[in-house]
Amino acid sequence: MAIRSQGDIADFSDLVAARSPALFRTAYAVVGDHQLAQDLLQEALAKAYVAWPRLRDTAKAEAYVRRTIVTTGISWWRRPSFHERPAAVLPEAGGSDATEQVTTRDAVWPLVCNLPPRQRTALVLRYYEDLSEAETADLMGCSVGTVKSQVSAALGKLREGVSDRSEVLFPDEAVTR
Amino acid sequence: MSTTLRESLARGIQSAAVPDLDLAALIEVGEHRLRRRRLVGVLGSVAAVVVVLALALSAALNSPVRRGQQPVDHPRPTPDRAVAQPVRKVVYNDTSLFRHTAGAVHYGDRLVATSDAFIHLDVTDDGFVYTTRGGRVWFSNGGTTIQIGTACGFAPNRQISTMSSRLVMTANAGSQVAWFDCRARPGARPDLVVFDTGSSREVARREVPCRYFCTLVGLTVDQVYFDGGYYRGHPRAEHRLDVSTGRLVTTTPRLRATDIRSHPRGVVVGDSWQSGTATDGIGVEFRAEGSRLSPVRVAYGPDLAGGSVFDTGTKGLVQLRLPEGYRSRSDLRFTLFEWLDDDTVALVGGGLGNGLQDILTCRLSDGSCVVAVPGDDMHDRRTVPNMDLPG
Repeated sequence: MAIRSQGDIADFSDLVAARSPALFRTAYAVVGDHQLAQDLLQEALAKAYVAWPRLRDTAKAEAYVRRTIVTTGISWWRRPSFHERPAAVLPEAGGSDATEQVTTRDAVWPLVCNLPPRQRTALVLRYYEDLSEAETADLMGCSVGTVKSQVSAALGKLREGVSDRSEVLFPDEAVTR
Repeated sequence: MSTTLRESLARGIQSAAVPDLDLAALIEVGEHRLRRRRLVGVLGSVAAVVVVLALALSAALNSPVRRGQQPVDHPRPTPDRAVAQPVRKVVYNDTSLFRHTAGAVHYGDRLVATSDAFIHLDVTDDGFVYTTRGGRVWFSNGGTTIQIGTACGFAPNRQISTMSSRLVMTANAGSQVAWFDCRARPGARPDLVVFDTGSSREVARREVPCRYFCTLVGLTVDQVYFDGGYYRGHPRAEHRLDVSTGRLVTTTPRLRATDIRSHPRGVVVGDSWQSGTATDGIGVEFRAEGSRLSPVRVAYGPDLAGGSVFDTGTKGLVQLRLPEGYRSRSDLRFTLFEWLDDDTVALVGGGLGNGLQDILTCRLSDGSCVVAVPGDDMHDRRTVPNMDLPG
């Protein structure tokens, strides 16, 4: 017998159906891995289900899940096990020319995935989710100054990684919202 | 063609296929967590209740220590007032201590022959205790008399003599009798022995730190007070043996007074309950003033003329009166020598050469006294228990 009422379950199901694609993209942006993003979204939704009576409306529920995705994703990164994953086969040495990869406009994402999680998260929330520095700071549970420094560091690394032939237009760092 | 960073990010992020979430499984995970949370809450509440009960029980068991209102050395008061106490019988002897012949002890309505001339007489709830020359300690329940130990006295020969004093002693209530025994370590420190006349067994034995030789100061319930072996002109509580735990600790007369105040069968003599002198009552001397008996002296204490007596059992004022029609004299004095129960004491009148040896029993609650044993002018001294040796 379910502890939550049928009405709560129906509302929760509506949220999952309507917002899970967008929430999954946030999770993917935070962790940069498809499987991890799926696990992260399920974890955030399960937490939302437990806290459902406190969330009241769908807007608050979505904000709660998004915040949970960010904070949980960052906490996962802090775990030692997150960095050490068992592998049956060692990866081969060498690979394609990285310079060649970043000459195209679609090659920015691999560089983003190699950023540290807090820098990647701050970058994604600012320039993909289009949140303000204050909203980003609130979601990440840090100060605005931290958001600024994380974004600045992330942009610097991306600029270093792309070639002169890059077609990507970086935002003017002096312009903030 | 150029692209913005946002467009580049969106392409990378949206390139990941959105998975189909198993909603039923997700809800089941949520329900499982809710049930686990409730279970943890219930277990936490149960654990909290158990902890609170354990703390309450611990506090109750250790309350005298936790309160910290009493000295560390202070023995825990025993609520013996609420327990029915046996009534002791009046004990006395009419044989002179100096005749050096076997005598007889009156124990209630019985007359018990003693094996030798005794030099000490005390009483417990179960009978009476006396000591004969050579330190042999005897107990009689009124029918059977047995030797229960051997006491020793002062250096150099540590023999108890007719001049020995305060080396065998009982309490005002209970069955315990204490003495010093030198047989275990001849020439060394003596043992303090506590014997229970109710169970007929030794209940405590401890080597005591005496420079020359200790003397007993007093006994309360499960506590034996004695001095450090230095002559100070009067008994002074310096050590205490807790019979129930076997602990030997240093103490002070003030702590002993606090102990006395916490039990029945003691009196406070002075201007008030707070400022008066606490004593076990033995040796408190009263003077007849008309029909009233007024306290005039506490054993080893100052004169208390004009003071009052308060019962430690009730904290009430005690105003003793001579029996109706008693032939009073202005120099007539009575000395408290035995507690028969928490409310009844026995007093012996007169002294050497006085000629009046009446034993009165008096109730503290209403002050009434009756003549329990009339005096006999044929005897030069009536010996009563609990007094300093000899007798």
